Amino acid sequence: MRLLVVEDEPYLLETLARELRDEGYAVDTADNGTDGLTKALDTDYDTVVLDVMMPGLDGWQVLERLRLEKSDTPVLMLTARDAVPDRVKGLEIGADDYLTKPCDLSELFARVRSLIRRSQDQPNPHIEIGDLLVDTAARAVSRDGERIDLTPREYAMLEFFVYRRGEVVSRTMLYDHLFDEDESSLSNLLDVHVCRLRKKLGSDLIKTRRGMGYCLDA
Amino acid sequence: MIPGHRSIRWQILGSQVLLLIGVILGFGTLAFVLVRANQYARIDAELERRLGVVAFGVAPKRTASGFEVTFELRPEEGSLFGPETTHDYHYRVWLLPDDTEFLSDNAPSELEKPELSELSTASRIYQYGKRREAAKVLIRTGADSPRALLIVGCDVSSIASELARFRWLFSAGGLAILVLGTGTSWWISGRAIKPISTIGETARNIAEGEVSERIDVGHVENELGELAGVLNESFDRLQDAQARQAQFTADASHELRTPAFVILSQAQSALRKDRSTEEYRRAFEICEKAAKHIGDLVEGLLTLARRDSGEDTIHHEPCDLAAITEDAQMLLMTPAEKKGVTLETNLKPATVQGDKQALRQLVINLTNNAIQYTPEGGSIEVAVESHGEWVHLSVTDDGPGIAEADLPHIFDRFYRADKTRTAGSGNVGLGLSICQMIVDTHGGEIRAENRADGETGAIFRVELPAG
Repeated sequence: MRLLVVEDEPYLLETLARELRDEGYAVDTADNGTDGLTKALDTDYDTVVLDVMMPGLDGWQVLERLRLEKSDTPVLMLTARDAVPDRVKGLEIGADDYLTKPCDLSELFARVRSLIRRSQDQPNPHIEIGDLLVDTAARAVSRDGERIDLTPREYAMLEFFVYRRGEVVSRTMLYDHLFDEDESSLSNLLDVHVCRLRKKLGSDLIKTRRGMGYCLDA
Repeated sequence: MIPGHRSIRWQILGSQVLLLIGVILGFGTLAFVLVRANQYARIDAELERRLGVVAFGVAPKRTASGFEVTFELRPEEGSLFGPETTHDYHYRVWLLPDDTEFLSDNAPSELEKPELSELSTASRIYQYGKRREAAKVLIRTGADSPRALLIVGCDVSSIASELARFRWLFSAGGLAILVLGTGTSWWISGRAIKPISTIGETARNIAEGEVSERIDVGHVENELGELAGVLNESFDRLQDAQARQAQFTADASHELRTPAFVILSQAQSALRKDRSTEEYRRAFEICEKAAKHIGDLVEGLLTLARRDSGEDTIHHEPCDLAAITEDAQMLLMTPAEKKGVTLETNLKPATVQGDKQALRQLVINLTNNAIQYTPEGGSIEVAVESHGEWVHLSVTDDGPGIAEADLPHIFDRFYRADKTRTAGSGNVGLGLSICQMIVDTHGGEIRAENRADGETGAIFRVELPAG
């Protein structure tokens, strides 16, 4: 899953991006509203974490303009202003969730996960694929009650396949949603991760559709 | 409503009712006394007239033994007496010296004969219970010895009952007037007091939090209307101050939240799993900067809050602004060098009346601000000069200057021209507000402008009264 974090406080931006990457997300960053809007319009992010008080375009303006063109990108507003009118304003402009600074990182992660589930129409965090159980809340996979260890990147890839089970997933889609702007899409990272997933979960779980991409059978 | 004697309305009402009772009683008693006197005077005049009639009845009469004084009334005179007359007039006559008694039929038997010595030729009035009598002595013509004792009387009970009726009528009328007067007074005092209750009610609502409520002064054009107007103005000012205070508090908490979030996220991030020494070092560095930022912010807020509340008083004493500036520059050399900015001074002794600490902070804040906005390689000039009654302090930089849109807000609290909220920048957005406050408390003026000498850059000018 690929996220965009828009925040003008450099230390905060750095920390949030690093921690979200640790969680297995591909994370793009923007330190002002204008860049944030450009990136959000260019790429289909799975969630945008948007600060409200920023120089140039502020969070409200970014959200308003984003909603004119894209109504389906989940947006989590992050702000130091927590008066009720501010929250109402954020939700009415089209924010999907609202978090007040300072907040626990764990809460931020939980809300991001919840936003992604909702946007994929998968409100239930427990998804069964054959004998495999994927817990999107705990970000864990188990078979017959036995936990299978996955790296965050491997898990992210599995989750992406799980949300689109039965569909053909192209390599471009995988690159768009699993790698951030700094990682080269020319690398063979994708094949490496698919190969590892097959090794850990069973070789017939993810099928290759020649010339089209991959598919996870429901 | 305030009960009893403390209520203005009750006081007005009480005094008016007392006054009314006094007036009614006074006039009523006077009228009663006059009416009674008048009634008795009329009766007394009637008795007087009848005394005269009775006196004519005393006359000498020829008898067998010569002339003899006797008493006899002619029939038309006799009709003036008797039970059929209006007031049941009677007479009693004694011929002297024999004391021959002549009584009218209706003369009450229980009445005493008055002593001759008490009487004279002028009539005298007696009142026995419900009967009233006039008595006089008739003198023999040409002699001093009394000839007869004459008394006429009547029943005055009808007058008494008439007076009693009058008294009752008067009491009823007085009571009616009293009730009417009290009612009117209650109504008038209520109308006069009403604006006061309106004012009180509004003030109470405002105290309970309805801060936007105002007294309706639409139709009240007296002193109370004026008072309400004055109060409304005060309420406006209070609401304004409260709104500014609320905005300031909201801004302050907002400003504190971001660095707090930086510290929290750094700490949580560092604790989530084992990190390298380098990563821990970085996390601590960032926490340190954010904590310093919070510290600066809190200090600035406290400075403003203390001055706002008047807790921190300025000690005015003569001091040399040039010396203070020179002293402050020592502190500023290091940050200027770090930034690669040259700091120049042009100081001429100038005495002002002021607080050394506050003035030092003024110079430091202005210079720090200039260092902040001057790029590497730039220069800043701090000048102090005396101009008659004013001392001028100016801080000139050759940075990019101030955008027109920022100029009107540059002294606002938390206003930052560059708008970046970096925890490590050392810029908390309060420095210039504190400068403005210091200058205000010294009775001076501060303004910011862009250089007009062809160079880019900003000038902050301060004018303080010379000491």
